Amino acid sequence: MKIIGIALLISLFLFALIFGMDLLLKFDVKTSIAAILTPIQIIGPVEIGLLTIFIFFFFALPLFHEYKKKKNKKKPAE
Amino acid sequence: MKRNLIMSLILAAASFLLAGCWDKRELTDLAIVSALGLDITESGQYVGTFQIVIPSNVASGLQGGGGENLPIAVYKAEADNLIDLHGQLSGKISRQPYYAHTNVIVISEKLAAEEGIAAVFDGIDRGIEFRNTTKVVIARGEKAEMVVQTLTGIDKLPSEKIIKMISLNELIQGEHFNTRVHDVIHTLVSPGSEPLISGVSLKGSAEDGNKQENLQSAQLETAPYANGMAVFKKDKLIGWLDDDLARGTTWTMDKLLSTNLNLDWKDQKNAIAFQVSRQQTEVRVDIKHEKPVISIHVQAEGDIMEVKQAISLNDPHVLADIEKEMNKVIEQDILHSVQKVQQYHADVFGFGEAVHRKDPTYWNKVKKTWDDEMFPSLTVQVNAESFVRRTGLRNKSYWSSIDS
Amino acid sequence: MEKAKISAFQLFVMIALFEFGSAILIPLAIGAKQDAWLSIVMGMVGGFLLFFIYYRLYLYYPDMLPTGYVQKIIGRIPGKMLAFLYMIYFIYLASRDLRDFGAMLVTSTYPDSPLFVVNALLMLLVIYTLRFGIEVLARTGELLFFLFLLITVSALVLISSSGLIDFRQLQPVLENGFYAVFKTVYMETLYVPFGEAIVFTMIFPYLNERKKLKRVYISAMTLSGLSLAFAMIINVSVLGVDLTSRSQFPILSTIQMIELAEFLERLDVYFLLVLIIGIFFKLSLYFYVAASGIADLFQVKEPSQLIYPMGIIILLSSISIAGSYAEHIEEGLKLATIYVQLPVQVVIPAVLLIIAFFKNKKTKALPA
Repeated sequence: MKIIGIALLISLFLFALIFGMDLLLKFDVKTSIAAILTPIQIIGPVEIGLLTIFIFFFFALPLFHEYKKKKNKKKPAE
Repeated sequence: MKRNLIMSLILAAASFLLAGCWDKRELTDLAIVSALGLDITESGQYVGTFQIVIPSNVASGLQGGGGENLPIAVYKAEADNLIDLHGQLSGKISRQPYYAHTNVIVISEKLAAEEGIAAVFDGIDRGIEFRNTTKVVIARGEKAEMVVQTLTGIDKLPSEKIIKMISLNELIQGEHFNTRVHDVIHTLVSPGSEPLISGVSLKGSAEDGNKQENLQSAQLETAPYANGMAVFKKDKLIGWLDDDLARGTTWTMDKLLSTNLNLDWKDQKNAIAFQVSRQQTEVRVDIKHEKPVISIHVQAEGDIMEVKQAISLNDPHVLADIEKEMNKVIEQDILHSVQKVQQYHADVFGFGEAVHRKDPTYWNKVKKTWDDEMFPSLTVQVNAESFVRRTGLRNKSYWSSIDS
Repeated sequence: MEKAKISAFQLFVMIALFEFGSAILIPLAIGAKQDAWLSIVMGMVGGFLLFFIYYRLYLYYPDMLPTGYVQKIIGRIPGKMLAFLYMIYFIYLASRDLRDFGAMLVTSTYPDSPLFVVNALLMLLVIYTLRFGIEVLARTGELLFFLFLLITVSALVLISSSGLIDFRQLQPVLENGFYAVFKTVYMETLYVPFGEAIVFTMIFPYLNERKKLKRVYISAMTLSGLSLAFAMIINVSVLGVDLTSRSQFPILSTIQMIELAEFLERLDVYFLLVLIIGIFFKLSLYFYVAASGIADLFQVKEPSQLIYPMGIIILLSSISIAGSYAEHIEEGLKLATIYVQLPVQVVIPAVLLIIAFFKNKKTKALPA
């Protein structure tokens, strides 16, 4: 959970930075938001598939790791 | 004695393994039909033209040693329906026609406009040999027979050439696309949509296309080329969409893969060539005051491929201005083709289907009058968003250095 | 901090490849026209000055990552916040490099491939490499460095023996005066690529022979700086100023000009290897440093756990970082330099050094 939290915090700041750069370029707010979102909107089925898999593992890997750790902790106690 | 009995039983049982051989057909007994042309005579009889592959000649052609022997043989028959055509053929050909590898069905404009295409497809849909993925084209201004028998250059098989030609255009320019038998039947039966089929014409004299001499010149005298998209109402051909109108239609149907757009810039006509490499089109239906309103939302991205004047393509703000201009061009393109299709009273876009999905009860009310009243008077809004992603290997053009 | 050690040569290779990275790809300092090479050399000298700031800071706290010592210098909470912003900055630069990579491949070689897929492939490779830590990356660098040298040298041989080079295109020197060159230095080359080496402050503590640090750093910077300047000289003398400034990737255009012995032509793909190696390295370093910094700040016990999620973030932001390649370059060379790189690479480290100087003076003055 911690890992996911950190990752989300990073992306928040990172996209704020990207958004800020667009504003600095003297684009208005609407264009800047569009500039961040549209590259991920116009994508084909292959990319949608890849993206889904990536994002699935984004959440699944840390959770799986945590689950494994808990299990390992229990074992020595037995 | 017992031994013999067991042996004969085993032998008898072994014959079960041969069950699949009942329907055996040897390759040497088959005539593989690669294309089927359908015409109609004055008296209303079908004329079928069968393009049959001569396998050995096609193979030698691929190895580069061919060219002397023709890759295809063409047979013709006249009858009242497709099955009868097959029967009529038997007196003329030494092998059994085999349709599983039929690439394309060519239907003449006359047959499509006068008789309608619905009658043709039942046999194809029902039969076990024909695939529903077989492509359909309309022979525009030409007999289907002529299109089927014309020899082609790079692709030995004329049927291959026709299909590849259309798919290439689909891939690059988006003014044509291949329609499968399945699509035709689907759009025929669905009340809110109509078929749209690519047209093929012949350049040069149609009669000479089937001769070996046709292949002897670098620029073929007679050759098929893709020509417009045929608009159908119910099952009858009622008109054609050409060039930009056809592209606007494929665009609306979200079938566009890539295309080139020209853009005017600072009083110069077609100063910027933009290649759309990806697009996404959404058709949304809103029902306002008992009237459907269609909004088409297009998102397109691509590269600037060519400019004819000094434009600072390294400036994102200039690119943003170009994008705005492009939005207008795309919107105009799509709006024009929608208006044109509305004049035909034939809903090839499937707007009716979209209304059906959105509000089935409303659809049931307007279903009857959809084609002739609702569809032609639809309010259609187009909203395009385009994005310049790249400008090739250069940013500014050399025009900026020449002009300064 | 990871328990790893890297050798002096490995650090040398990493710095050299890093500096080469994406800088070789873009029309660097072309604002200075035919004097671009001069601007690059001066940027390199500026890079040395910056190095001494980083080096002094490192000498104060030789066993700590910068994420650790900023907390000592300006206090725990502000230090953590500042360090976190630095990590965001590294991630941002990693995304920029990934975008450079994708844009280069898609523009020059794979026009119909989606940027996302191209970027994803490199990202997966980087994720795979980094899961094993800095040592593996350093050893990969050693291996690739020789391939890199081989290709670069062969490129040089091919270009010069094709008779393409016309040094007169470099004249007149200082046509627009010294200030025009100096302007591109403080607007561009000081930060990209030389100041970007601030990322190595996160690597210094891993070095096994501390005394060699200064020498290794200076020599690696000199090698890569001079090579970059030389590459620019070649570009301009082959293509001319006009074409170089209009090219998105001048080095590719230069290589496309090679025509030798009727068969050594169209070699762009061969040279793409160099660019890919360089960018792979730069990206991996930014990414690694960011991941280890974040792990340090948030006390994540297994930093390798961070690699995958952060990789996906970098991948996504590399796509949405800019609408077009023109915007990407404009942001990178005009805006980011002044608004981001200048404070991050010069101002803040300088301020930190001053504070550290007084703090350490005080502690030293106190009886131990």
